[in-house]
Amino acid sequence: MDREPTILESFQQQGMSRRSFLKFCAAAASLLALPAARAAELAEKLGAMPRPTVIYLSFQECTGCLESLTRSFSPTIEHLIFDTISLAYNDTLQAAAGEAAEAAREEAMRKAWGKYVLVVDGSIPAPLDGAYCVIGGKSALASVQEVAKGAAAVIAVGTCAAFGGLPMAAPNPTGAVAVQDLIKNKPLINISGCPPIPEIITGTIVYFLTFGVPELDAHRRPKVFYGNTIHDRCYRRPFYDKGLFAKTFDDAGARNGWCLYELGCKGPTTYNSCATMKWNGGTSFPIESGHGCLGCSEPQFWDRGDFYKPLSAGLWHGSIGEDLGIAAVAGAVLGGAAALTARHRQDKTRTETETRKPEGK
Amino acid sequence: MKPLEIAVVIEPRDDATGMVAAILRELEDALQAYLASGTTHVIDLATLPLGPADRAALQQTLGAGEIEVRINALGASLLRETGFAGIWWVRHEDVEGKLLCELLEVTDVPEIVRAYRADIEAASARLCGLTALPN
Repeated sequence: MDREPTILESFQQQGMSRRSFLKFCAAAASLLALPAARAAELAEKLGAMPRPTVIYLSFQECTGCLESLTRSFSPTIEHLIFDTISLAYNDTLQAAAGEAAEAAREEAMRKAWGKYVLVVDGSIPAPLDGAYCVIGGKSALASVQEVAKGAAAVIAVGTCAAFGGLPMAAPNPTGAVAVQDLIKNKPLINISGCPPIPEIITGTIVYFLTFGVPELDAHRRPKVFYGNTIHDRCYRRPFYDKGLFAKTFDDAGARNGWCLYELGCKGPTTYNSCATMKWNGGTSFPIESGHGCLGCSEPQFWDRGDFYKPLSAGLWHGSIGEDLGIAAVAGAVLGGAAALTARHRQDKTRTETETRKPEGK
Repeated sequence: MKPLEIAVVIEPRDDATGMVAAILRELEDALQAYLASGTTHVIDLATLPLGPADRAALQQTLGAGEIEVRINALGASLLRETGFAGIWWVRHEDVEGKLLCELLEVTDVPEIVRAYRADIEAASARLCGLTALPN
């Protein structure tokens, strides 16, 4: 066959039936919350499409994102999509190494110029012409710019690629930057998370192949997955609304599954789908395992203060005390609640200062 | 050592949300659209906040029809005709039995049941190979 096999053909070449493909499409459509008409379109378009070429470049990263993707339970949607795309280059997964690997990448780029999808995992150090991260004599900076030139779109996988992540954490010794700081002239989608949920990575690739760039939020993340906060969809949310909080990790509140806000949960300011899609084949997510959300899918999450102090502590630079009750009652909108408590706190401080003054004299 | 007294409070939320009435209205429209123009429709149950009470009520209202189709492709799929001809309750599971998606499909026969022409052509060629006389 001269032409590349279509996605449906490559499914069938692997011994999977058309019905398996239709089922895969139904599951993908459900994952992407597509309306009925688009779900049918998904199966039709995806089936007839040539296998897309994907070039996966890894830079300043820990390989956790790739682990998330490949260690998911098999065979799952993630496996299926990765079996049906043509992964032309991934230095961790491919058998070839050194010059042979680079030659394979160049060949794939030449054949699919203007059409391939570039997936970047990890941040890129920018100073000194990218001298802090050099692979095969070529800097990460030069590589990403070269490969992005022929890409139809760029997908930044993981918080490091999307926002700079841990390499960019203070004092950012290598001058790491995010992919969006370097690539300005291509459609770019950020899939943040440390690591991101595997279904989100593959779901976004499927959506992009079929319908193009999905609707994105202010951080260029697909709204379908990053449209709500963890807190919005958290099963512990009713306890927050009732003002029932765990005060330590082993008190009665913690054992009763009360809200982890006071223990530093960043759920209210973190946009991701952990609470609904969950992890490890739908088993649970961090809050369900008793630990607050770290906010790993948000920019600068590493430098946003203490993981174990409540969000409101950052506003007050101090202890929280009884004001939390008010935060909880105000409930639904954290910003409003925090502002309210901050104001309450200020009022209280002023009153205290005023009362104290006469005493001091 | 004294064992911890762990009391986990589980508050059952068994109230109907009123979602069932909305689904039935949508199905009513979808059936009429199918009759008028042959347009098929799908409702993805995972996208709707259905509680156990809603689910039970929906199942009871739709009832069971005459056909159940079981498909073995990437795990089990169960397609059940409801008591209303043209409305199918479809459940797709993966190989480990985990639910992939649950749909209400409005159509005569769900697409996934049909055998495709290309597949029948391949089958025909294979069968010819089997029955060909040895030279």
